[in-house]
Amino acid sequence: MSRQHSRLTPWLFAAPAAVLIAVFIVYPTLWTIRLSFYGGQGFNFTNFVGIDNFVRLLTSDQLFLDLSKFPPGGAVINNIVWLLLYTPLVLAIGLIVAVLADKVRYESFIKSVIFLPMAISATAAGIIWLFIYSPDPNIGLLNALLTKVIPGFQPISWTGDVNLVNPAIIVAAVWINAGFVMVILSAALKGIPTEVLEAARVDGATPLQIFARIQVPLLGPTISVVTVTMIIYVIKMFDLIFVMGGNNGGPLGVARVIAFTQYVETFNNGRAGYGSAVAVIMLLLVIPVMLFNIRRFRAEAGR
Amino acid sequence: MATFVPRKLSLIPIAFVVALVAACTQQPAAQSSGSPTASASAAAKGTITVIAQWGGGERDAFQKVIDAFTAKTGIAVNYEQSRSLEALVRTRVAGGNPPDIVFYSRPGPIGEWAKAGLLIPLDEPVGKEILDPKAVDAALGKSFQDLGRFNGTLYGYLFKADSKSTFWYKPKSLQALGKQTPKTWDELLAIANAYKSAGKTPFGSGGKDGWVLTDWFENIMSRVASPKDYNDLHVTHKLAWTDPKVKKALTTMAQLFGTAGYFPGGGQGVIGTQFTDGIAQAFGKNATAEMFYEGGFVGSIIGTDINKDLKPGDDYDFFTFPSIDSQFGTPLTGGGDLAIMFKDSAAGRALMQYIVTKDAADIYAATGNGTPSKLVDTSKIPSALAKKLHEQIASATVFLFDGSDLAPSALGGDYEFTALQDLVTHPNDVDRIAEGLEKFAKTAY
Repeated sequence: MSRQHSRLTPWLFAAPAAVLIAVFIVYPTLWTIRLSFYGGQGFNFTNFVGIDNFVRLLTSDQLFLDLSKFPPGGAVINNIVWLLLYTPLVLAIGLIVAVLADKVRYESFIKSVIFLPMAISATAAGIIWLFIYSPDPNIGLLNALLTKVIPGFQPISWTGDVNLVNPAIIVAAVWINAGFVMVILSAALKGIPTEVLEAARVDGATPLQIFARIQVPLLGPTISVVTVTMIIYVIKMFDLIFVMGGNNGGPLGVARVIAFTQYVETFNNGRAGYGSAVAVIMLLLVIPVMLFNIRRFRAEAGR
Repeated sequence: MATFVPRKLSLIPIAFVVALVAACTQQPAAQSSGSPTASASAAAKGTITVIAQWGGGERDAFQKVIDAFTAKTGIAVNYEQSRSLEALVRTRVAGGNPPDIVFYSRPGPIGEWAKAGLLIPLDEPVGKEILDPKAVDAALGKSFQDLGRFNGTLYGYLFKADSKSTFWYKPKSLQALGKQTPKTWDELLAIANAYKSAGKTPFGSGGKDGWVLTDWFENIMSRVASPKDYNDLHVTHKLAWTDPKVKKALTTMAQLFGTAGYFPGGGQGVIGTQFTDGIAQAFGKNATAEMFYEGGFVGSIIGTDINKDLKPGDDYDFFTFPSIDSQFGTPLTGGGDLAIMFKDSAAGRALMQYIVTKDAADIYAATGNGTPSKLVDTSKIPSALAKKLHEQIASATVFLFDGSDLAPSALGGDYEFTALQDLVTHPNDVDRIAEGLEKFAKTAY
């Protein structure tokens, strides 16, 4: 009897979470996967089209994936650009600030200032950066600065240029999240025993060597947590692009990412089935990252 | 080896979540709206939700109509403004919580919703109609009524109509240049060139909002092809985007936007500028341009949001978008907002019936906004400019509704935007862009 009781207990504890996950995650996911095989107008399972949505997305939707030109474009490629530019940049800045701030007297002040953008919603942050990027030098801080410093400088339309819009939005995202990365890494940095650092100094290690050979390796697990968080952030990226790129996702739609395409197709264009297909592709891309994360958690718990 | 993830780390995500929740809870407060007069007394008579795209001065104008309605009936109206109206409405409909009444500018999706059975018919069943057909006939001409009619049934009532063939300019600046308002495209280009040689930028434009460019295209298209071609291209897609007539319109547009010195920052500057910032290029306090093409509503935006110091008629005025090919003249292109009903209720019916009345039309016309209603007493329109706008609509012989709003959303509300942004930045690629549009249009109808 008591044995049966103890076997039931964990299930009872898990039940509330399991119910919530089933209702709000598992069921909608299965529903979305099913819808992705339909035209899905009005979110109904009407007009079965098989895998047509996927075929069209991957072969003939230039705003989603365009391999016909060089460099290739489309929402999928943009997500990759974000991964390659945004993730290392935000990590590097967060790490550098965390390490340098550790050494100065005004540490908490510096950290507060850099963390501040985290407290602003993405919408507000996007609007702030739209002002900074405005092509009118009477409004746009960046253009005002450049026209003052460089004689004969023509104001640049930062968010209107197909080549500049993506880096411009990425910089804004780095500004928002560098503080988050910094705070976490800084906390981990404080956890490194001072004995290790002192021993290194006694052995004659330079500050750069201490940073590269001791601090960074010891921060490894934390860095990988932050990296995974940032990668998931990038794959889900939507709000900043919607605010800064406008309703059609940047000039000519070149700033679209996968989540943006999903939104536009589902809600703006009313093609819920097509939008669901985009969501399914996004899900497939997130799964490996999640698996990696789970395996790492397990490995850590096992230690 | 132990990992160096300290305990206090766990506090950070919590602090983050708290900050996030705080940020989220603040937003609804800023968004909440509705008429202040309608609180306690109205609760008994019911409250209805109305969603529309109007903000700023346009919202204030509509609020006057709502206030009069609430004062008369005691029914409270909860007005919600949405920049992404279609997305909001689709989500609420799918979620089983449709708004009572929506004012929307795209007959394309309205027809789609009507076909899906989501809308309440306004002139059925006979004898128990929500809107008395005689009242509708008295208020709206047939061509305006038909915009809200699908398969013979009236689902939408055109409450607001705007001319989109209005070219805004500065009378004083044009006089100083020694020019008259242009009647033809060549005269317009002559003015542009004169401004250019005087060291000024002739046009402002805000093409980051893609619909601004579709409006340019539609005016040009209606002036190089017949009304039938115009509608065949947008409504039914019987005319291909690669047709020589369409290519002629695209080429005319590409040449204008591709001419160096015509727009601040060229095509690249156009697509980096939002609609209202484009107006400010021509009429703001630090204006850098001389003329601005967009619809009749620009006048009220200049007066209320851009620069209150400017005097209508003296500092800003409009001329009709000039003709390009004399055989097609200057048809009026325009847009408007149709009132549609998602939920039937006595309070909702009362509002629908109210907006058809002369009272509502007069109140709205007096704010200087465009109304298609024949009932308007023009002597009550206070500004000469608003009167001129009303007369342009009332006297139109050919009224072509905004083509991109007639087309399916995926084309007219999305792909066409990006394609025309492509056109103004790549003016030599007309063929490629026309083919792209045609290829997309084939999947959209």
